[in-house]
Amino acid sequence: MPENEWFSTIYNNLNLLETDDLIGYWQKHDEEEWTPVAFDVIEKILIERLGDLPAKVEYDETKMEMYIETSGEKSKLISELKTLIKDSDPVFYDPEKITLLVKWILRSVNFLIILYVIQFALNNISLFRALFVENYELFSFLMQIGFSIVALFITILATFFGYKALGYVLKILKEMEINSRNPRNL
Amino acid sequence: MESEESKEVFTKRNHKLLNIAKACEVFAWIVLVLYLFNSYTKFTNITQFVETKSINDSAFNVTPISLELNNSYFDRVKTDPLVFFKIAVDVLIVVFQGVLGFLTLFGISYGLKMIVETEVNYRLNAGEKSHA
Repeated sequence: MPENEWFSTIYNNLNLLETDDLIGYWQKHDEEEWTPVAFDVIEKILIERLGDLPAKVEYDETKMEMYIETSGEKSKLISELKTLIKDSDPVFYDPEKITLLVKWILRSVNFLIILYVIQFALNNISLFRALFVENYELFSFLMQIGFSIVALFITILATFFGYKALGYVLKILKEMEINSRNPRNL
Repeated sequence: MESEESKEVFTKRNHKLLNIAKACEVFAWIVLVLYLFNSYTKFTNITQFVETKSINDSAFNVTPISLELNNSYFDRVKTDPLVFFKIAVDVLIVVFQGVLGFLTLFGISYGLKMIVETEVNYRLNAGEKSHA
């Protein structure tokens, strides 16, 4: 077969293909699949159709190998990290239980403080009634109730800050324990 | 960490702390039960007191200054919802004190466990298994 005839046969065959397919073959430039003449034909067809050759994407084998190695390393690292996380789970306690415990301590304290205030109001309801119903003097009222208010205030502060501190101590201890594990120290 | 390994890794101090933590957990349940029992006795005492007294025994509205709404005057307002509200509040305070005591003891227990865990982690990271 003369060279021109062979070239035209290839040309006619490739010309039947879609432009996108030709661009893909040309960009991939797989020399094991296509002959050098075929690439010349594809270039010619693409120039005819597009007016210019599209940007060539470099398939650098070394880059590909590096990518494969990196992705392999990544998956290896992820699996190692998973193992480490599993291995470094706390033995004696459940971190989620600490969060739950702190939440319930603070909720209970708030509720207890509300109850203290209600109890105070109920204990002194007769004084409040006297103040509003029987024109009891405000000064006498304050003298009688003043110490109770101070005592209530101190009780509330001591209760609230005491348990709040306990909650924070537990949270800090949890953080310290997490920071002391292997993965973070590496 | 396996149990065999933990025997090697823990120091005597670690064991003491873990024992205290365990004791705290047991004590927490005891505290909760005692407080609940206390709240129940308080409830029954107050209600019995209210039930046995007549509604007209004391005159709340006559001398309000001298009378505070404490347990000894619940009888005067047997049908007053305030009285039952007061009983509920008193009982709930005891219950919540018990709940807080329970949570606090559990918090102490968890705190000690976290301290042991942290100490063991640091020691294992440093490459030694036991000071003991």
